[in-house]
Amino acid sequence: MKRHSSRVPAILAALAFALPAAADVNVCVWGTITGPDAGVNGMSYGTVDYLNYLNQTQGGIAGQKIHVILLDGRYKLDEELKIYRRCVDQENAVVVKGWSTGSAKALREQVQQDAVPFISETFSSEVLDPAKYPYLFIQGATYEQQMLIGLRAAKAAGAKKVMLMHGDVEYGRAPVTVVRKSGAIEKMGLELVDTIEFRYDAQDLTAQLLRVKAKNPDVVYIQASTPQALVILRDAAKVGLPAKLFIGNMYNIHPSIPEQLGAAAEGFRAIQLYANYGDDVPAMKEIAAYKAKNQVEKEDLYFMKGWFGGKFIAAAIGNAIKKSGGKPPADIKAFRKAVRDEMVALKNLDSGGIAPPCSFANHQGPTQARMAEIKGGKYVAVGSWVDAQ
Amino acid sequence: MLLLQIATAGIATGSVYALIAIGIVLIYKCSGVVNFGQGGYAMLGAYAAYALARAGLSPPLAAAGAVLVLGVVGALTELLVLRRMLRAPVVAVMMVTLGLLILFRAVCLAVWGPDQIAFPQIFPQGAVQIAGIFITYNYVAAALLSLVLSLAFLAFYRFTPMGLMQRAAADNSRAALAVGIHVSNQVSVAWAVSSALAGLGGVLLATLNGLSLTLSNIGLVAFPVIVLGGLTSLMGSLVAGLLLGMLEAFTDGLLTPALESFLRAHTSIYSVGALQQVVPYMLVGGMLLVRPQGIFGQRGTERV
Repeated sequence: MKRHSSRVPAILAALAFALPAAADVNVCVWGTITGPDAGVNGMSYGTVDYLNYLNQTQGGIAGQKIHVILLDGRYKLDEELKIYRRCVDQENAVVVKGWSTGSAKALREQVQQDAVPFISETFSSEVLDPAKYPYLFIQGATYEQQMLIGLRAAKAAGAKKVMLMHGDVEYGRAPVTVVRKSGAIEKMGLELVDTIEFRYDAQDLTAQLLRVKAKNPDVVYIQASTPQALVILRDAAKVGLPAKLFIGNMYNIHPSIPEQLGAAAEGFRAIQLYANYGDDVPAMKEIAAYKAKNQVEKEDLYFMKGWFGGKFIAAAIGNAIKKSGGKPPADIKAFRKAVRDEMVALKNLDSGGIAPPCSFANHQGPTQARMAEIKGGKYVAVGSWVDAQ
Repeated sequence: MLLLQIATAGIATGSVYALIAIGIVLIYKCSGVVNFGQGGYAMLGAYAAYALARAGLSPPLAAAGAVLVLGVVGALTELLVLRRMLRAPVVAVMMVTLGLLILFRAVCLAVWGPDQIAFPQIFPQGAVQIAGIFITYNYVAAALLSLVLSLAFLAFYRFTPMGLMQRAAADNSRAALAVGIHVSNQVSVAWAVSSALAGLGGVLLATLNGLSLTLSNIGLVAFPVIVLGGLTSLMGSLVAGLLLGMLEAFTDGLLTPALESFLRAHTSIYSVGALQQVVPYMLVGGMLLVRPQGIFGQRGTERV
């Protein structure tokens, strides 16, 4: 309780003191600080904390202090669109890090027009097109690639019949539609027996799970977030379907699932793209050093993703400053273009073990993933990293 | 068997809807105010139970404690906020209840943060299987509680002096005052009971799906229930809650698969989306056209 009560003043302070000093390099980050998917907002905090870590330990990036602006999009599209405009027009951000699939899709054309490097937390393939959207980046295997990695693992274990379940939001619907229409499941030698769309804030999914039971699939892939996975696994147990039948995406790795469901969650698998918080990787030493002097809001996998995102941004900004003679280009448009070019040029980015070394010429960085399974009330990595390609 | 299982799931969900809706009706019956903040009281009740459990109380005791706390919160709401608005237009009071919802969300956010929280287990995990039908213990509790409470409140209004006073205060507050009824106190009692009920509903929901700020959205689900059942009818809330729950379950379990199967075979349409959230509102719209006062509501009459 104490930890959370200190969060609101911190957020207010971040919002209130968002006035940049003249020489700062501005980076704008928005996420769901308060809202339905706030459980994964470590992705925003991680990036902010990494950039602040550089300010504290190295005086910023290439001698330039980074002014980080953290804003709350509340998982509301209109709010996210307003924030984007603020970041570009008022805050003069050289890089903008956004949040949802919906906002990334809504802004993908605008971002090119504004020519501002834009990183989204989405993994939707619909925003991943380096030729069409040269300023738009994601940070890992797409939802579609995650789905295929999960199904490939199921096939290797002997599965033949597949079902897909997804929420009735863009994040749920779009990737499932892309995969279904691509015929990738059939090409893999699996049969797609049914697809179920459900209400994103559903309190009960018994009827849907009875439909699953009637189809008798060997594996069910869930394209939804933690609260929906909770309802699915709970009602699955109720109708006699085991958790091991289900695979979720990277947003289904959350402690509340095993904590709330107990034995009913055992065997549930999800796709993991980044190292766990606390893993024995070099980045954890940086995080521990930062934590010794600062409050870390989230200590989870999503914070690791955010820390990774911070490294990506910092590397590109650093290279851009070095190439322009050690000082940022005076013209913000030129600076943004230089940073975008450096993002694409990044090769073997060392994320301190959070993800395997990667380049961003593909605009998505690392494409490896591994499976995590709930065993004994905890997520445990099963198998090694496999490449989505 | 499938039909029975779907119907059981619908009844179980509908029971929770009914429990929240009964609280809204209680306040409306006594004060003429539609409480848009009912979902906020449900959420607050769940967080209160969580806090009490964290403080060391056993989960059932924490739930009981939260219901009491919410009763006090409801009474205080009436005493400190709504009593000062006795002469204000009803719409203004309703807007205040909406403000209370926002305030409660802000308080819970500040204290407990925005994350999903695992809620303490009050009932045994798992489901009871009766003749091949699965029902979780939480839903058995919700169904029994809403049924018992609805009947208890019906009896309370019909057979007790206080129930009579509440009905009198709701029907004509001036006339009630003239015969010596302390109308404000009656409204306080209604708020206390309604908030306690909402708190109980919130606790039940949190035991099902975990705890987060989105729990307050349940208040929105309750509105089709009270419109369908009739704004003044407790029995209407119960029946409409169950009806809505069943309707959602059958839409999910039968209508959607059949429709999708047909569309996939004959058209390029693959999915009809989450149809369950359309059907209830269509029903409410139809009901308002045919019977504006709801299933159990009474048409208002005025002596001229």
